[in-house]
Amino acid sequence: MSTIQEDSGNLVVPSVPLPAIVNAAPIEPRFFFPDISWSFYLNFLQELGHRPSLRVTYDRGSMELMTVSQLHERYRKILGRTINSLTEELELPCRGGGSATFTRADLARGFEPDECYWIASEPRVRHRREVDLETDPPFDLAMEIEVSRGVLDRIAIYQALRVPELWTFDGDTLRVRRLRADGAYELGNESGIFPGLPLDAIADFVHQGVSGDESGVIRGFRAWIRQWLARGDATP
Amino acid sequence: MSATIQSLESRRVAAGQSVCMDGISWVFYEAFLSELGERSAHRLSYDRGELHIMSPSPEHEAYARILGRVFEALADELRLPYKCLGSVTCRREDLERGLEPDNCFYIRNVQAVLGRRRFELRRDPPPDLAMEVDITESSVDRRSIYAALGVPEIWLFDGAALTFYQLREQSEYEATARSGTFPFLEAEEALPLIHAGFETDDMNFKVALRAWASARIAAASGG
Repeated sequence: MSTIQEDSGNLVVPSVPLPAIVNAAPIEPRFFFPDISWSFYLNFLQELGHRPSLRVTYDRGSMELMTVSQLHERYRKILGRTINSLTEELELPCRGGGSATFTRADLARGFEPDECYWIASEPRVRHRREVDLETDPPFDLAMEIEVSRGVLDRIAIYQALRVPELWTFDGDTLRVRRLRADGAYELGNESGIFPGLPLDAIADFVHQGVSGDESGVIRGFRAWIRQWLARGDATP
Repeated sequence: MSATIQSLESRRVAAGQSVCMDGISWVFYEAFLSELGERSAHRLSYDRGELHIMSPSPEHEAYARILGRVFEALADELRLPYKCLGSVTCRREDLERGLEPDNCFYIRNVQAVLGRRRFELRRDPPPDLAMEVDITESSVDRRSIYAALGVPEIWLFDGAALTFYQLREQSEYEATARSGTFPFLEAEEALPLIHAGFETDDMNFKVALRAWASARIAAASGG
């Protein structure tokens, strides 16, 4: 019984400890499915219904399913609150679309942003119960939390839908992409919606928000916005 | 040998990814299977409304093949007819359960699947032996699906230990020291083979397995 090595000359049974190859469970498991029809994608969305812990992305024949981690949700909520605070303090009209599913059959793309807002085009969707991106304008600003990355290029989807401004946050840095006239995104350090807004300061508040009391941090953020406005560098 | 096995226990198979969704209809499960087709890298399992999607890691797949090779070496040596159906989908609509094993074999019921392109578990017998590589907690749920489908034996490798399970009367599996298919085979002696299979190239592994199986069976029939 204990003579396997002798019985089978070539069989090398390692006798030294092997290096541990422990892979921590991925933070946000993702599943990539190539060759998925548009009709199956719609069927999938319908079967799933609204599940905040899952995101389904479809891009021209490929579908990706991802689970959203708690950290991802916290970043999303806090970053969303900073946007709400900004639009309120700056008295900008705003309609939030949250993480609703948006589909464009004509572009064979569908996805759920982390957060999205109609600001300049809010009057055009104000009386719509349900916004249909095939006929209504896209949201002016979207948030993409990049705690993990998948196979599908979600930024390219925002670009294909001509979303004017996209903020991405990877848990460290906040980046802004603005749609140029030629339809490509330009990575920059200034928001077109909140000109002059120091993005590093927003990232700092998000970090404070995840490590402290959200209410207190947002109160502090509002006070900071007022100071910033009083200084006069804001030109909304 | 026991020291060797001890030292191997620190090893873990890289986890695949998995997600579970409830409230999923059988119709959708079947539509999903057919949309994914045969070549899908994902494994779906379904248990009365609960759909589990798993994407196995390359290591996971490698261990499933190794388990199969250990089985095949012994069966070949014993001239025991079998058919490997790999990760074929095993499902029963009447039981609202289905899964794709990591590997599976028809042995006693081998005649039922020869030359068959499609088979239907409601009419056809289930595989006689299923192989599972699992390092997550989900194996427990999968075992209940195997039990409902009536799979007589499971070989489960969890990255550290190999366990044989036999289906008992109350539709529950009992862990056994020896395989039901090969009553002389103890899990503890097969375990180092599995680890060795991961370290060795396939040709040398198969040659070595053949030599081991031949010696092992000669010893079993002699003693």
